[in-house]
Amino acid sequence: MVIRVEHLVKKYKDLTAVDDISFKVKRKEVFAFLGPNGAGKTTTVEILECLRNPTSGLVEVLGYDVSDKKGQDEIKMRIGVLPQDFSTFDLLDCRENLKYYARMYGNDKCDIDGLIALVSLEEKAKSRYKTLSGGLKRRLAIAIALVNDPEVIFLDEPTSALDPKARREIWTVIDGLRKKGKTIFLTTHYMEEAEALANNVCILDRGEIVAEGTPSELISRYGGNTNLILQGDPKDIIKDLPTAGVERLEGKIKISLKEEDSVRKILGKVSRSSMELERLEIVKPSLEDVFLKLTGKRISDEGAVH
Amino acid sequence: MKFSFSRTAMVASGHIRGWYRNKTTIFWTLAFPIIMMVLFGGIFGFFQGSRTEVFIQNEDVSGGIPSNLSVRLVNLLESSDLLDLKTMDSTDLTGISHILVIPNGFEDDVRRGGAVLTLKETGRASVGETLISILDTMNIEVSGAPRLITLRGEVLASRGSLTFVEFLMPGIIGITIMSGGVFGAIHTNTKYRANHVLRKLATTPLRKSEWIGGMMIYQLVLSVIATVIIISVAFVIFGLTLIPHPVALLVLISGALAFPGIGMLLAKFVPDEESAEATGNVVTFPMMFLSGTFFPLAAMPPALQMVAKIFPLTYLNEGLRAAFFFGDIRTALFDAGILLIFGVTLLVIGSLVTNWREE
Repeated sequence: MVIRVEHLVKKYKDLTAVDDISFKVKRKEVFAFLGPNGAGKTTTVEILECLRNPTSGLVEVLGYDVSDKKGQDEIKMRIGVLPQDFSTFDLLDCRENLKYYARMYGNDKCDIDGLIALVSLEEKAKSRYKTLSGGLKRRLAIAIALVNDPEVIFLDEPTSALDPKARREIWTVIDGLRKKGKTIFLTTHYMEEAEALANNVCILDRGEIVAEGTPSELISRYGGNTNLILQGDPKDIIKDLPTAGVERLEGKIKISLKEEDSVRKILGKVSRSSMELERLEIVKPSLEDVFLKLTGKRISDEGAVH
Repeated sequence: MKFSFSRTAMVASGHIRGWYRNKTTIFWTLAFPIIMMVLFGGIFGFFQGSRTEVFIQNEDVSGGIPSNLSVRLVNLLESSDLLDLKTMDSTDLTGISHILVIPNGFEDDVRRGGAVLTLKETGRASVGETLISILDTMNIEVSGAPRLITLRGEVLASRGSLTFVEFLMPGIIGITIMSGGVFGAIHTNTKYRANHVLRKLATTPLRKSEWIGGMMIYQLVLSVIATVIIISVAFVIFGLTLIPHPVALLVLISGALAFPGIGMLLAKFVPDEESAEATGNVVTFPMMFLSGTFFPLAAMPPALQMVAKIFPLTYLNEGLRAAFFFGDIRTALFDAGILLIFGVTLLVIGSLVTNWREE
């Protein structure tokens, strides 16, 4: 067990940011905290990083209590942190930035070149931070989180505000870390990110955990059925279909599939009818559906709920 | 975890590299003060003129009337136009560098074949050569023979006066150190808070005292570099020289430690970088003008002089002048002490109210 949290509560004056949550993170897993902005993700992570004091509850990282001064010193040496919206020293280059943070841990033997290679920044090693693109900046920031060869890595929104290509590159880096046996605590408001990277997902909404499990467990439990979407003029086919689970949208029909073989049945009906099929899509449920089902809300790209 | 000098040094080195790689900070910390010194020094130094003030103390007086010959001497000195003659009318030596004493019985001595004038000087610059050349004219005029009147040197126990550029240069160093300290601390605290560098560092073993220590070393290095450059420019452009005394370094160090605390406190209570910098200006501007940077404190109304006494910049300016030009170690040590007490107090308060961890 790398992280153990029991009945954690964090209150700011009259706001309860984290309301009695409990979870465990096992060694070598990617654990994702998924939720919109303001759900309490960063507050929880910062308590785990010994940056904030919990109001009440038990919080242990690597077997040490985060409220204990000695424990904090020990935890700090063994965790690596990428804070949310982090940018590092503008006028230092990549190597200098890495050396700076390595020195903070007294780690003068840190393999700077190895870290630069790990995040594929070889060509930019001598470039100053401020000249890097958003994606490269974030890669350097992840490398910075690794200078002390940590056992647990906290990545708070590691791909926020990045373009899709840069985001996928960061995913590759994170997946590489998982393969090296690091434990990774990830917070994100991107459903695909949690689905792509996490072994275990905790869905957080307004300071509370609303669901926890592997992505596939959550999807099969809360995601609902696979949908078949037929695009084209439905004409008379509609009356041949079962009434339940069929939704008529503009120019298309969405059919919620109940049994495995129903796709074949429906397609049979389509081929026998006069329907001109323009497009056919099978949409599997995702964490997005899970979130919608559990909270009644969707999360925008910026992390807001609507 | 124990205090680590290696972490502190890395913090300082990061700040120093960030400083010299940033053209804007180089301008404000080096170029701007130099431009100001050359501009003000050039303008006001020109108006002040180059004639040296010499105070005449005429003791060759009987029944309230100065002797004929002494009056002729004074007239001659005046007509030469090389010196700015003043009459010594009190015993207060403040601001006086040169006194020419015409002794009692001067006229009689000359008649008897030899008189001695006494020139009292502070020892920084002498007008002896000029006087002798004028006296030679008089010697020939009076007797046709040289060396009838001779000159004797004596040390004047006074701080003497400073030329405008001499007065200005330490003030320029003072405001450079002040601005560097106040704005440097504002900048490091607000910027690194906004981009979450401080949050990141708080998750490492780095301690708050090491971070602040690193900032202080950076301020020290910056102050020494700026001072050396300003002194060199003053030497090259105005031919300004000063007394090399280690006490000047002590004043400099105390000055560098005195101001970052102000910036830390401002950064703590004014959250964003821009408004913190505006507040920094509100604090530094009055100090700049009321702490004897561009004109002496004595030129201000008494009430403002009282205000100047609470500004640390006053002590830095005065301490530097005492060390650079008068070799006045006691004054310099006193000023350094005030600066140290002020700086350390503010730093302690600043570091107590600055949260390394979040709430």
